[in-house]
Amino acid sequence: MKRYKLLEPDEVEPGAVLFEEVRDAQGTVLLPAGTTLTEALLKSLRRRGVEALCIVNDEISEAELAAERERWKNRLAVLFRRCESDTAGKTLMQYLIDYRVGELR
Amino acid sequence: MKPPVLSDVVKGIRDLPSPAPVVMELIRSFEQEDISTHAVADKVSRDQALAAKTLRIANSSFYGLQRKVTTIPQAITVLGFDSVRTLIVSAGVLDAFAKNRNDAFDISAFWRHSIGTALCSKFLARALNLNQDQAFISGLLHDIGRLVLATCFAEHYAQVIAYRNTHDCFTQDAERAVLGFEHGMVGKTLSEHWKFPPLVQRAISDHHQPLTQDLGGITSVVHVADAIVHGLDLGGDEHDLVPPLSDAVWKSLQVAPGMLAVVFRETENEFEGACRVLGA
Repeated sequence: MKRYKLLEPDEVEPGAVLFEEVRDAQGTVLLPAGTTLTEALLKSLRRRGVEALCIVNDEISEAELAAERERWKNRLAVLFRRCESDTAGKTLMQYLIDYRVGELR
Repeated sequence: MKPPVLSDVVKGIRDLPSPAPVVMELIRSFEQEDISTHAVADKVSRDQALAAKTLRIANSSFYGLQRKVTTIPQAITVLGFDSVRTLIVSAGVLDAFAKNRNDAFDISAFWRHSIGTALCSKFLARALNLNQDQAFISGLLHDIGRLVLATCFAEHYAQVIAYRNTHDCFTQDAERAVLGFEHGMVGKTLSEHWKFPPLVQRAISDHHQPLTQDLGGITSVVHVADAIVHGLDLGGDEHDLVPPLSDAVWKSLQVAPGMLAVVFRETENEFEGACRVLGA
């Protein structure tokens, strides 16, 4: 379960909101996160050959999100179970928790 | 059952099927400046399976090409020789090992972790302005020694995995306990035998403990990418364990949280597609 959906431009309806920025193959940002897509913007993205868009998924309930956040925190504690004494490991684990929770906010 | 000694490993590696000649030539060409891209394109094009696989990867969402490429020379024109070489070598090495299936070792899980590490290394390298092709190939092959051990010494390697599961320890510790040596050294021997450039050899042999000279370089990128991919849980192995992360290596890359979040997401988004096109 994710807070976003990955869709092809043809599958996206106008009014959908970008969960993350759109970049071209060179890594240049074409549209920032949070942009509400219009028919004109979608057309321009198709013309530039963009193949996938990361769209906000608004079909998940708050309770489902909270359960999923909790599941990830527990899972990351298991994955990092041998890194307790390891400063870098703990930092990476925290970044991953922030990333997962941020995706599920 | 007597565990293998180093000379057995060297013999095992010599007995492994090598990748196709054109792939071996490309591996050696990483060090050459005066390589004829024309001649390479010609040779790869004649190996239909390899050419088809290379084009399939080139046309996947990974490169975001606006128009499909249909021939190897066209792929070289659009993506550049370095990227196409990386693709061909990746496809060629996977094919060489695909002939050696064994039931005790989950080869698909192995390649999925390797492909995840290749992607993550590439995206980290891009964020850090390092060479993305070197990062990709090094990430893809970082654990190749493990595959050599599982292929050449299947029964012993089954013991390594049993030891790891019983003791809930790192695989490299289980290898040391059961075999007396670990996969980094085995990978180094293979990468020397196949004549990978020294930089890739070091990424393979030292990815658990990068040398001082490699701080901030590709070996460090692979060290961190390996940990990230375990942390992203891409393998979905219930007993998975994030390997130790070196403070010195972590600091040397100066990664910022915002930058890593992008690397995490790109790696996850490209992962299934990359596994599919590479056939893992």
